[in-house]
Amino acid sequence: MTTDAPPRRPSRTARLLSAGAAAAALLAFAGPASAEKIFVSNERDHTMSVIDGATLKVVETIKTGRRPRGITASPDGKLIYVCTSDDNRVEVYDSTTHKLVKTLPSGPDPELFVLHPSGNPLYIANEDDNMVTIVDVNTAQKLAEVPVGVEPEGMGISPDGKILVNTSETTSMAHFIDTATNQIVENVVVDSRPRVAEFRADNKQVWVSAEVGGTVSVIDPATHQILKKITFEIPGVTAEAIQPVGVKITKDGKTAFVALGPANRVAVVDTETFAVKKYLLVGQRVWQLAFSPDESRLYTTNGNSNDISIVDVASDKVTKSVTVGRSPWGAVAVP
Amino acid sequence: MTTPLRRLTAAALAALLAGASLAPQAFAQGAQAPAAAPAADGPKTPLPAPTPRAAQPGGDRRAAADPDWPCIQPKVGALGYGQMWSGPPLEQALETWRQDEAVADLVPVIVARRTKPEEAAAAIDKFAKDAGAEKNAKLTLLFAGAFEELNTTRSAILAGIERYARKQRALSEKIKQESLKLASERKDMATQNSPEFQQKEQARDWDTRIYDERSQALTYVCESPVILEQLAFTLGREIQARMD
Repeated sequence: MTTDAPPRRPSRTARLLSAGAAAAALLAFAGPASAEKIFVSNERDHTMSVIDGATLKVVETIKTGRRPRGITASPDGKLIYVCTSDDNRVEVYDSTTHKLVKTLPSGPDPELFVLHPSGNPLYIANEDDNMVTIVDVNTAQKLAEVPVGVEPEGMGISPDGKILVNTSETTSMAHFIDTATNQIVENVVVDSRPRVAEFRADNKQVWVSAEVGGTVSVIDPATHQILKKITFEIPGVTAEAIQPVGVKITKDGKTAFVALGPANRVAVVDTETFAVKKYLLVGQRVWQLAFSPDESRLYTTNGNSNDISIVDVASDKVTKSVTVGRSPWGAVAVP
Repeated sequence: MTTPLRRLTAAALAALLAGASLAPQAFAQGAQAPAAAPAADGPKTPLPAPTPRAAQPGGDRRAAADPDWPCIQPKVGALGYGQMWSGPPLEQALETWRQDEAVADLVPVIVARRTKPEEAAAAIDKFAKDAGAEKNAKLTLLFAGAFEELNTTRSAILAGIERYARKQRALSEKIKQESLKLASERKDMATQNSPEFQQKEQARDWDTRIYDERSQALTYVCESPVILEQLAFTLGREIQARMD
């Protein structure tokens, strides 16, 4: 038996190629650090893809802890926080050098988290032990634990940082927590398997998506009343395939984007009339959403097509998809 | 003396079997759940007792667990074209695509697993060029055909996986019975060394091996519906990218 090519040659080529890529990457970093970067956690690859916002090319793939899921950035965009669920910790990366800076305790199986608007502390949902863990990001100390419902997941914080909303998947509740006392002030029953909580910038609405229930409950944070339960209907898509997960609302508070899971669509919703304006076809099993810093673009992580879609916010059009690692979960963009 | 205990066990078992509908009652009868008692200035709506079986609002929307579904991947029945198609409704195209010769010729090529993605893309390119002014209508027919073929194949695979799971369950029951029988017959050394007993033992071991190997194969079989769905999505993306 002979092979077509000697076994050594491809590896040498690969080495040369990767050396070239490294040189190109170094050159890129030497330039002004003003370009936008998008960080994507790849749940099945245990990596984080770094995409250059200008070229929309993956410039680096960082090896992370196991099963990276929730991802966010410090308010100044300098640090990237990642929940590495199977390593039971939060990893903090420098957004310029892409190096691991430190790790934070998180409690078991951290899935999603939210930073206080001031940048500290970090509120983490522990899926396995029905707790929200509060961690000081500077001292890496656990400050408190708040018992919540079963399988806590979604985390949203009010723009003034006073109210934290956690959702629990199995209990199907949105827990409103006073961040001054770390006590639950009210529990609101929503539809089955709530996944994400997102405040509108004027603090008048919290949107809570229910994956199995197929709805989004819009709650008034002052009265804890459900203002509206939004349902979704798409021609040619079965009701079971419509599974709302990620929610993002524009800073002007006018438009909400809701990722609909295996429906492979993102709903564009008017936050005053609650009417769905459009269903954008993105990638397979669209999961979480992130805006570019100037909000001109929306990024969607598509877990089954292993890519992110880029939506032009002004025209509500899907302009491109970029292949990342396996099972992209979350994304965050920094200037 | 043991009667009340036995009755309690039976009741607990019934509650367990009935699942969601009985679980809250079971909790109501039990001691006060710690989380259920609200503090004086606590939330108006308390956290429920820690019952994972509690009925959930909107929870009935999810299909009941299927005992014949052996895969880790959730069972997704037939695909909807809207999951991969944002163009005009496909109902009519789904009826008529076979009547178009060029479409009927190309569909089997692009849905074949052996066709490489770049080959499919090139073939769709040529098809779009040849269609000229009718490009959009023809591409719609092409997607309808590809979608229907992949959905049909996928449904057949789903049915196959369920058949496979039923066979595995029957085999596991057979192994259990064989083992029980062997255990009851294993009385003394003489019996255990008898050719008859050893033959039975060997038969049980073979069945166990077959069961294990089939279980391992299932991991790959379960990927098939997902792979076909991905292919349908990719083709949809390729086809729509060439439409005006």
